Amino acid sequence: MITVDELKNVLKTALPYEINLEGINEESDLRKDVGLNSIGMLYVAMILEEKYSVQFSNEDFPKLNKVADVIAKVEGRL
Amino acid sequence: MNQNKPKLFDIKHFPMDAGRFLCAPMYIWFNVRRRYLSPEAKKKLRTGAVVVANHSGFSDPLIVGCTFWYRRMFYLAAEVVMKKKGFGKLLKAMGCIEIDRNICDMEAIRKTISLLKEGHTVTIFPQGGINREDEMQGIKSGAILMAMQAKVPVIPLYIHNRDSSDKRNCVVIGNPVTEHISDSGMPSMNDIEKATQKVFDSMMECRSLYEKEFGGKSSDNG
Repeated sequence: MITVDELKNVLKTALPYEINLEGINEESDLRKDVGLNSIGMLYVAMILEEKYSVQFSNEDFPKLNKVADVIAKVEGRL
Repeated sequence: MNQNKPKLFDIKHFPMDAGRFLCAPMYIWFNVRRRYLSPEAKKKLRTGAVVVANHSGFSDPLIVGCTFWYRRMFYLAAEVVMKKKGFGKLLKAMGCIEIDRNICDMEAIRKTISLLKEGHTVTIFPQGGINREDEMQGIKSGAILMAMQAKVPVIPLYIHNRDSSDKRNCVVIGNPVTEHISDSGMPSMNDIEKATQKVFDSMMECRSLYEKEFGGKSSDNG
């Protein structure tokens, strides 16, 4: 299980600059709203793999558009 | 830091070792002249490391292979190169790992990290492709991300391809960068970007040393 707040902490680590993530919710877009690029996405996946024993495959990334998609992946619903 | 050393003989790397042996005359043909930024850079690579170099020609992987002739060297190769019929299989046998630059290629990254953790060396050309222009392009932080995950140093390299066959190829080796290696959890992307900048600065320093010594032209034979 992972909450939006826990994911926000992961996103903060994966972003190269300070960003206010207060307005970020499950419907927020990872690229447009959060500002993640491809390297950032990879880093998020690496952190989540280490913390939550989940494994990301190449096929997962096109499906990861919103915060909710990442939560669903960690919870095994994607 | 990861101190694993690779096995001297490993059956799964036999095609690669056989290829290295058969390609030994290439070391003479490429005639690589090595220069070092400091005595620290001169130390032989014994454990896992990511070698990061500029990419100005098709022969660059071979030049890196000649520079670190005493190590099995793996390379990250773009999907367009690996998709070529027959050639792709040969490259794979010789230690190339296919990476698709159009997607987040987690599988290639996982394979690279696993090799690094085993103590192997992997060469990455992080400028995203061949760049023949004089100006050095910036580098992407993916290489440092992988080195960070495997807890191995990054070796910056500047390659100068010879202008003609009577000149020598030249490689300047920089000091190993270890800032990204942390035992206390995952560093922030900001730290990774800083380490990336340090690797790039070191590559620029290597280039300056080359220009100072050879005036920006290929080094003469001898």
